[in-house]
Amino acid sequence: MRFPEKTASNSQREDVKHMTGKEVKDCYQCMKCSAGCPMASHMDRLPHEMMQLAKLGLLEEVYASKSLWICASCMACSSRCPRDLEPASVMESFRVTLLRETPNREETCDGDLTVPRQAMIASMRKHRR
Amino acid sequence: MRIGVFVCWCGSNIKNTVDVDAVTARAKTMPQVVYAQDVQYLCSEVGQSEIGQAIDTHRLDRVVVAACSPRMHETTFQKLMAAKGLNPYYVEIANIREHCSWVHTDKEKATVKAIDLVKKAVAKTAFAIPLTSDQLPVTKRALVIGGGIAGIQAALDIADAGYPVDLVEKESSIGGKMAQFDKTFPTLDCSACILTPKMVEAATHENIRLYTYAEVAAVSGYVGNFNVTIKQKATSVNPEKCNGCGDCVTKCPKKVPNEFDCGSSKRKAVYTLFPQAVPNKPVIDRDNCIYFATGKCGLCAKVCQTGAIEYQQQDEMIENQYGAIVVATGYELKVPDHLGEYAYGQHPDVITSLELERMLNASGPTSGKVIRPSNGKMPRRIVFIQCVGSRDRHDGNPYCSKVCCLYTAKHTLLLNEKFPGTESYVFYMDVRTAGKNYEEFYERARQQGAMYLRGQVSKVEPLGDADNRVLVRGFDGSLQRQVEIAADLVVLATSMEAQPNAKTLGGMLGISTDLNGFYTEAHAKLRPVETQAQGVYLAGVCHGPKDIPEAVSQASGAAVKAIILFNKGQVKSVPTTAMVEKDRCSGCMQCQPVCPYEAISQEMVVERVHGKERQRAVATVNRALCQGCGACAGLCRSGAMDLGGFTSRQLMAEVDSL
Repeated sequence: MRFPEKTASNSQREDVKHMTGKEVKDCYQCMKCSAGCPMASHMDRLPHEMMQLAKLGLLEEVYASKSLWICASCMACSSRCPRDLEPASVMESFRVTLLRETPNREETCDGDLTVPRQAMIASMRKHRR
Repeated sequence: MRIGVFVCWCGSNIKNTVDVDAVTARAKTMPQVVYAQDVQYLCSEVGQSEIGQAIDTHRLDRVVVAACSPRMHETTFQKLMAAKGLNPYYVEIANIREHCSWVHTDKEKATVKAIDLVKKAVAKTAFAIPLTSDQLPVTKRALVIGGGIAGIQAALDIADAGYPVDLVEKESSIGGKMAQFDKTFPTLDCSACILTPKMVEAATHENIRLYTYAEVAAVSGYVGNFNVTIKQKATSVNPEKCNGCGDCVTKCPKKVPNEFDCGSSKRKAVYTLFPQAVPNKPVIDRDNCIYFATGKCGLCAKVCQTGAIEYQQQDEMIENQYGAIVVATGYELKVPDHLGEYAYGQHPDVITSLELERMLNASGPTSGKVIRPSNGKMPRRIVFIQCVGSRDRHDGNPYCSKVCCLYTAKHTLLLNEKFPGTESYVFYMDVRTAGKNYEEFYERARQQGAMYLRGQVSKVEPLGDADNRVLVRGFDGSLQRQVEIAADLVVLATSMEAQPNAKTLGGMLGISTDLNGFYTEAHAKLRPVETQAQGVYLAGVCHGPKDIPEAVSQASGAAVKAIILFNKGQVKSVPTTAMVEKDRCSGCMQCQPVCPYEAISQEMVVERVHGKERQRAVATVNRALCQGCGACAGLCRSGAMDLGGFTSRQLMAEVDSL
């Protein structure tokens, strides 16, 4: 894999930080998230790889990964992360971003709300309410 | 003669492999043994008092201790003997731990060996002779070899304690490697700002005498009384007359690569090492000076207003007496051109960390700007490669250079702060941040944007694009993929190495070097600043890779060792010295040249032969100089030379007992 000439811009990195509420740069790749992930065998990229890609600013690869949709949000990784980075929340925020970018998906809520349903749930889970 | 044998269990260390009961029982039957006992820990207070009581009750006059190596506890038992009014050399140690239980697994055979070792010790101690040591005076002046931060610190500490110190530095200024650095981790202090005050203090201290542009040429003597010859190289500039105006440097027509900037800038043939040099007087580099090559030029002498240039100056040999020596000779960085895959020396944009450090330094070749050597432009994407030539048994040094992890983190931080927008990638195998606030520093570097990729780089090659960039081929262990990064600059964290002449100096001082050329300490844990040679202490990287705080701590430790010696004011001589049996000595004097301590000389004895008085030459040993190496005793053909504690009679008794 040749690194692209341009990795994520500072503003993109800021967006990720804003959305996840976490600084992915803090990840030191202990790989505990992948070690305990019950869905790991079904994933094309393990949770620690997702963190590393985000850290390196290779966001296109993050969004292309199927792992985002395989994550069961069981939060095992989040509860054990020694850097308090909550990889599950980081995954979720990437899902939210993707869903926001495609408003006409089937999962969109009925009625006046144009927010995707999954994004609503994700938001509730993320903010614990 | 009444010998007592004491067998130690050393907890389970000996007992698990050696049947201590059998050894004790067998010891009781050995000749002249009147008492034998096994004890759980002989070195403990209980064990000591057991021996003491047995000496009293059984009126023992010799003691054999079957336990660990004499290097561990010989002095413990010797002190006990002395307290009981017996000569300390009436105790003999049978090493049944290092030489037996630790290296064997078969209990039965190990027990047989342990019995043999005890038998041997019993036979030897039967012929032991009482030995005493003398008190020798100490010259209360210290020599510090090497004027880097470790040497400066050691000299300052000894000088502050009130003892005179001579500081010898091979370059024309003290300061060492630290003077080349820009910032220091983990606080990002300016290196010069914290170093130069110490340099000035060393230069102006009433107890410190600087010998810059000088080297140690010869060392003889022993603890408390070293004779050292210092070779003061001719600077060709009279320091008394020179006012440091720098006119000679400006006018000098000869330019040579500047070693202080790793060759990335030029200096003149007459030069001062760096702007804050101490002493700030130039020297003429005679290998490169036109005058010394051709006899012509002489421009510097013409422009010098004070007439300080003295071409006729000669190297000078200075002899001094010292009581203690602190070795702080530091290190060199390996030039990584032996690792072809990193293209160092092949592509101009592959540099070492010290070259980057010099670039970052405001008084460096680029005045603090970081540029690509190939085109002078600012690099945008920088790749750092760790462990270049370190931890590499194939084509480098097997050890860890210890400071690279942190200085690379520092470099990424400095680059991010000074030049926002640069991308730093670090290829590493492990990041080692063992030190106060180091982990936090590394964390800060990552948070500031340094991107760490776990895996070594396999190849650095020209990309062949218009910018003449390099392609770094590596592997990211997290992504489990090969990665390629097109980089503007590649920085190699190259390995720290012992000084090339470390072995020669070590030979002069009587201290050994380890497998990697670094000096060996007396004990890895408990005597880390002392060496096998008494009165010679270690400070800084000459002992192994270290960062600044560690080097400074060790320097202070070494200084304290010297101060302790000076405060005591005298040293005990080695009791196990060589002894001449004059009746047997033929006076061939073959022993004299083999003695490394120059302790043997000739004396005349008067004998009566056939009623006539006759003078005869024999060898005699100066007990103050003799270090008990035994070279003379091994060589003596008439068997007249013996070594106290290891006499031929004792050694033969050992062999005969088996």
